[in-house]
Amino acid sequence: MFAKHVFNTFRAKWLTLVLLGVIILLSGFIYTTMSASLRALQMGADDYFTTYMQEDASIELAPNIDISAIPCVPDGVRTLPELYLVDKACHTWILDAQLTLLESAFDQATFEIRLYKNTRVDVHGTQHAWRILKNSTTLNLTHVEAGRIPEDADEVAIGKLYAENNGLALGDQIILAGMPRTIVGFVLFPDYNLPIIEHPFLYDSVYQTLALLHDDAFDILPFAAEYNIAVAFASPAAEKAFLEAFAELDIASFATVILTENNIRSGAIYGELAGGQAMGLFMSVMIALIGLLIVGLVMGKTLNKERQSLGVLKALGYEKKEVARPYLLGLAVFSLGFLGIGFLIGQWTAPRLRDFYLTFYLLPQAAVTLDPLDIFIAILVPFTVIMGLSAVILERLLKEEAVGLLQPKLQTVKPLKFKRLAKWLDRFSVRLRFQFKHLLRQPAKVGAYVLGIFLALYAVFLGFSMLDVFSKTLTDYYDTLDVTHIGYCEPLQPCFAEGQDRVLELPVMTQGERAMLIGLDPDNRLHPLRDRRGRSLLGDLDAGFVITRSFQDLTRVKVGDTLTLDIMGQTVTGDVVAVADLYPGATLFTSRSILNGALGLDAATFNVVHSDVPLDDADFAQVITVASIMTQAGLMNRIMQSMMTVIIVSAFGIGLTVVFLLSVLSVEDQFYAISLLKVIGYENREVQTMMLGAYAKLNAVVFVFSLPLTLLSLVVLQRVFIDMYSFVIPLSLELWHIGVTALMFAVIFVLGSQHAKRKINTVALQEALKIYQV
Amino acid sequence: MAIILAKVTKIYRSGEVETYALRDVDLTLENGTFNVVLGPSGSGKSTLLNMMSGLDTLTSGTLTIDDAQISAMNHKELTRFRRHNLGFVFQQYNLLQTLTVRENVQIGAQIATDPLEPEEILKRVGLENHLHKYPFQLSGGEQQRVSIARALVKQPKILFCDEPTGALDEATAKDVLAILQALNETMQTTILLITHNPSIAELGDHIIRMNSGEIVDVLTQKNKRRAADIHWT
Repeated sequence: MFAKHVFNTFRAKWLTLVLLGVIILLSGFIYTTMSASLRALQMGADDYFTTYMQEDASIELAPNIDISAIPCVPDGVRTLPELYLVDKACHTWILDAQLTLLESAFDQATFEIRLYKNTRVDVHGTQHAWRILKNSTTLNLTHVEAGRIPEDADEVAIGKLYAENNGLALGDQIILAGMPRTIVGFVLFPDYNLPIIEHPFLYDSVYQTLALLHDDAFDILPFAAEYNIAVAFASPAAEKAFLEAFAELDIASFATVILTENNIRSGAIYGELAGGQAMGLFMSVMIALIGLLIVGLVMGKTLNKERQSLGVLKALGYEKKEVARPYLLGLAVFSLGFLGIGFLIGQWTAPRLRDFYLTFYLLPQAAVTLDPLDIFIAILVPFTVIMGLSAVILERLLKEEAVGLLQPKLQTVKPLKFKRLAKWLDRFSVRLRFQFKHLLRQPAKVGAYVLGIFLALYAVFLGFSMLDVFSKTLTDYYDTLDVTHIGYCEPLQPCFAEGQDRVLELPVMTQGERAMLIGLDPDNRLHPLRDRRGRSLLGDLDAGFVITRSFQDLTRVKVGDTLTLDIMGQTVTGDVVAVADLYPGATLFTSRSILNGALGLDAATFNVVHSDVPLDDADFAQVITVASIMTQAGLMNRIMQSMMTVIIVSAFGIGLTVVFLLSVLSVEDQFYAISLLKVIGYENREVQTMMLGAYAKLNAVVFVFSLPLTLLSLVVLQRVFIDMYSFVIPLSLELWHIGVTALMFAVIFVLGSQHAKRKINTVALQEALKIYQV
Repeated sequence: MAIILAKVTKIYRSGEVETYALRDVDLTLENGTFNVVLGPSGSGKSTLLNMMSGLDTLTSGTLTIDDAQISAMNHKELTRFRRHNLGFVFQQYNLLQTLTVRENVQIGAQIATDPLEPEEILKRVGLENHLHKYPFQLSGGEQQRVSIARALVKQPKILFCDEPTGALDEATAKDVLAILQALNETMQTTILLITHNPSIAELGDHIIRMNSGEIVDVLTQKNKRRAADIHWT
């Protein structure tokens, strides 16, 4: 019978308990899904990287180093890509010489050169970016997910995910360089420099792929080749020695060493695997902490309401454990139920989250397994804490004698310890003081409230700040242009540019970073340059370098600084004269004619054509349509925006739940005061303000404090990405983000506190006449 | 302010059981009088106070205070009426524990149209040296005086007191009653005091005796006693 009473007690609080259950569920769910999915990735990744000999570092050489002084280089050829097209033997000789130099300098490392060629392939009427490779033999070996590696010139192997996204199957044919090639395999490569095709952060598995050709087929592809040198160290000590000694080599002046762990793509995997689980645990602990605080409050309140029932049972001769058992059993079923559901949902979503990660990380698919540690952390630990907390509350209650339990409990409230605060509060109206003191008397509720609202606010701010990351880094730049087609001229060949803008694009080294220098004509038609205020900067091009905001963030260079650029072995110096409000990576602009003059070239030299009409593929090494780039960027944007929307909506839900639970709990604790105020003559609306106004103000205070904290964390996050991966993420909060967030949290408060307001309205005036004080 | 009850009945229903808490009560109280409702437990005296003060609604009959028909008022109108015209003192003092003595009185003053100064009224009840103390730091009698000060700070026309000395010892109870008596005489506040203690009835201009939800009789006293002089039982 007593069990029935306990059941009815819990049933009367079903809405509060269900919402509390959702918080408990979220805690178990977040931990399980993050932990299980990332563990699957990690297990797969560890095996994969070891088995397929992932490089420890990559040496990247500036592609346009001036090689004209090398004896085998034909006259008129200045760069390695040009040389590859005209004299492969000389090209191979130079690369072999570099390899020999490295191998003789470091016997504790293995080196291998990897050549690759970029091209565009028409798939279902859309231009896709392909990076073509040939099979390597020592490092970064090919992992075949299905089929086999190409054995003939008319065969090709591509990424499995890319194939799935484009409806391509083994046996299908694709036209590559004018020749039909049969897809014979799906392959993956542990070299994470390779997928960096057009955007350094996201791998686009819809419009981009790595493609493996047979060696002979690769060699005869009529495209310029670029290359990296892969390095594997014999030991960590060898890595340190290599990095120190490399700086002394001649090659170091035109090459950079990127450690695999510092590569944005592979580093992000390591970071995600190590940090993702920590983040999952942190989020889970935060939510669990909020949940536990509320569990403590709800249980304390529910059990205190049961004082009389407990007193009667004790008076009848029931032992403490007999009284406690049904309550603890009910709680065990409740908490285990929600924790278990959270765990099961987490296990169900883990493979989906793993697959989502795989779209970015290009790892072999590994099975999600059940780990006892997950059950321990996601279920047993919070379960034990919840049960322990409830047992302590019950124990404290049941310690009282039966007579004491049967009497209404009179609580006394001690005065504020902080006399200065009390004095400071005196300047406000008594209603406001009541609200403040109301808050100060319930630190556990306030703690849970602040924690919950801050967590939700931070997630919303973070979501908003990342909403436009890819449009800023990709589409915004092209949006500012009137260019519809970009033609890349054939090296050493005349380039058709009649009636269109001529541009000189050169890779450069400056401030320790590889950057792209774009020489524009100040009177060009299609490429405007504007600063933050919208002022045109084209007139500044003749005065020096116009840098982009991404370049500025990356290098911390500012207007007035002098930049020294290493271009094709030559040094060009100039002042930074303005900052364009763009984020196209490490990019800077100057006047084309002045750049040509500085390099000793003809003033009319150009290698890229910007056009607002279609260009003929036959006239150029490559023609890129801006529309296709925008399509790709749009896809990435949609993925990112979907993710951020999920985060924002989830945060909204958490905020709503926290406001609901704590406002209701707060009102339930104050029936007496509410009733008394009504008896005195306060209207419902006034009582609502006095009881809940403090939470509304707390909302505003948390909002105000979370804003600078969020902004600070965004700066730190940006800096971490720049320092670790040399990549600028333009995280920023716009005014409208802040406005919408404020509005969202006002709505959260209004909606979340509705139930509490209704409760206030229904508190009977006679409550004040009962013999209890709170 | 005259209070007029005509054929007032209050029935509490619990399932199929009906309990008459008040049955056909007719009563008129004059302005500025000190009225004591006397009766044993369950006689209906608290229900009578709840009805007259608008804390509860009538089942039938009419309640008029001056020209205002209380029994026809909706919830909001009743709140407004209580706010501007009525004060309450309860047996358990009913103070807000998070507020100091002065703040407890200020909370009453805040909603009044012409309130007294909280410090002034607290001085009149002898608590001028306890302004910044919290309720738990006061004795029962002192807490009840805060409760009286809170009720009187808004200068109510009628003061309802439900067993105001029920939790106090004799000496303290007499102090509290003396304050009520003095306020009735100086501020002309109509007082309706409920008690089961016949001694307290000696203070009233009118003594309303109740039993089983009905008024047994209404006595008018010409020679009411001073609080200090009553014989405490």
